[in-house]
Amino acid sequence: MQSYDQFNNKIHKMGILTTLAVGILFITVPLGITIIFGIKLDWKQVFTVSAPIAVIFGITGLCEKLSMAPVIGPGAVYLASSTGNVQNMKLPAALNAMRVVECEEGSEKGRVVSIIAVATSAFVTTFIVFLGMLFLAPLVAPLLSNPVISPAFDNMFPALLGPMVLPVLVKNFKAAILPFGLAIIFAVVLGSRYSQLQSIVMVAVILLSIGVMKLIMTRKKTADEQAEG
Amino acid sequence: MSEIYSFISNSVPMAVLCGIVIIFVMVQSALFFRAAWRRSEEIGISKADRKKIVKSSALFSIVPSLPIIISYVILMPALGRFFPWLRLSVIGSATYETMAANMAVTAAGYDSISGGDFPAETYVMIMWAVTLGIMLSSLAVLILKKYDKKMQTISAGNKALGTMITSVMFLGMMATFSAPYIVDYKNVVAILTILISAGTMFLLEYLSGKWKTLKEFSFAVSMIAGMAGACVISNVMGGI
Repeated sequence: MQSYDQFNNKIHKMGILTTLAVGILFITVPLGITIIFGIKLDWKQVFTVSAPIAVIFGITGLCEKLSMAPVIGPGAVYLASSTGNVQNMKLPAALNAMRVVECEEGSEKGRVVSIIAVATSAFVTTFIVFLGMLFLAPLVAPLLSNPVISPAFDNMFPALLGPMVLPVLVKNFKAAILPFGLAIIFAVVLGSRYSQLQSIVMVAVILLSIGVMKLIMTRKKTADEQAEG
Repeated sequence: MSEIYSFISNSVPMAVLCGIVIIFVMVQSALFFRAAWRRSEEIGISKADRKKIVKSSALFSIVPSLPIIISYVILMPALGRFFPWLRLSVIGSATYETMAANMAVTAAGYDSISGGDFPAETYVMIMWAVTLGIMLSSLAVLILKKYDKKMQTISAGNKALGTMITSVMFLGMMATFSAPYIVDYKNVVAILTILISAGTMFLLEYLSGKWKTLKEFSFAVSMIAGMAGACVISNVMGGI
C-alpha cells in the first residue's frame, strides 16, 4: 500500500505532466490549421488580441484554483482545469461526492472521492456534447431555448447554490457569518462589476476571514494561557 | 457561416485535431480516475460507496451539460462544427468561449461573432486568441504542488489553524457565489429558485435518514426542483 505522501506526489506528477501535454495539444490545433491551410497571420495582432484575454482569465483562474485546491484537493483541480466547466459542474460534483460518502473537505478521503467525481462528470459532459455535435444539438436546442423552459436553464446556478450552500450553513453557521458578511459587502459596493471580479473577491474574502479568525484564535489562546497561569 | 472559411472550420484536419485533444483529455481523466479508484480501495472506501459516487456524479452532470449544447448551437454558425465541440467538451466553459471569441472578433474590428462575415485569417486568429487566452489560467495549476506542500506544512504545524483555513476557504467560496443573489433582492426568481432547491435538499436529507439511497440523488433532484420552480415562477410572474 502506498503512503499518503506517495499518492500525493503521484497525483502532482501526473497533474503537472498531463497539464503540460494538454497545453501543447491545445496549441497544436490552431498551429496545425495555420500550417495545413497556409494561413498568413499577423502575429502582432494575435498577441495583442490574446494578451488581455489571457490576463483577465489568468488572474481569475489562479484565484479559482488556489481557493479550490485545499477544499477538493489538487488532483480534482488538475482535472477540472483541463476538463473545464469548473464552477457550474466540477466543483458541485466534487462537493456532492464528499457529502454522499460523508467526508470532510480537504481530508484525504475527500481528495480521492473528488477526483472520482470530477472524472465521472468529465466523461458524461464529453459524451453529451459529442452527441450534441453529432445530432442532438438541432433537436435539443430549440426545446431548451423555448421561452417557457428557458428560465430553468437561466437559473441553473441559483438552483445549484441551494443544495451546495445549505449543508455548509447548517454545519458551520457561526463560522459562515464573517465570510458571508464580507462577500455581501463586496457585492453591494461593487454592484454590476462583481461578476467580473468574483474570483478576486473570493480571494479577498478568504484572506480577510482567515486574518480575523487567526486573530480570534490567538486571542483565545492567550486568554486561556492567562487563565491557566 | 461564411463560405470564406468553412473549408477550414468544417474540414477533416480540424475534426482530427480536435478529436485527438478530446481523446487525450479523456485519457487524462481515465488515468486520474484509476489512480483515485485504487487509492480509495487502499484507504477503505467500500466499492459500494465508490459506485455511489460514480452514479451520483454522473446523474448530477447530465442537466448542467444540456446548456452547453445551447452554447454549441450559438457558436457553431460562426466557428464551425468542430472547434466549438473541442472548446465546450473540455478546458473551456460556455461563458468563457463566447466571451473570448467575441473579444477577439471585436479587437479585430468586427461587430460580433454572430455575423461570421470575416476572412479565413480572422477565423484562425480567433482560434489562436481563445487558445492562448485560457493558457495562463490553465497553467496556473503548475504552482499547486508547492502550494499544497505549504498548506500541508501549516496543517502539520498547527492542526487547528489548518482546519480553520480549509473551512474558511470553503465558506468563502460559497459566500462569494451566493452574495450577488442575496443582495439582488429584485431578482425574485433567482432567490425563490435558491430557496426551493435548498428546501428540497433539506427535505431529501431528512428523508435519506430513512431511505439511504436518496442521499445519492438528493443533490441532482434538488437542483432539478429549483430549475422547475424557476420555470413555474417565471411563467406565473410573466402571466401576471
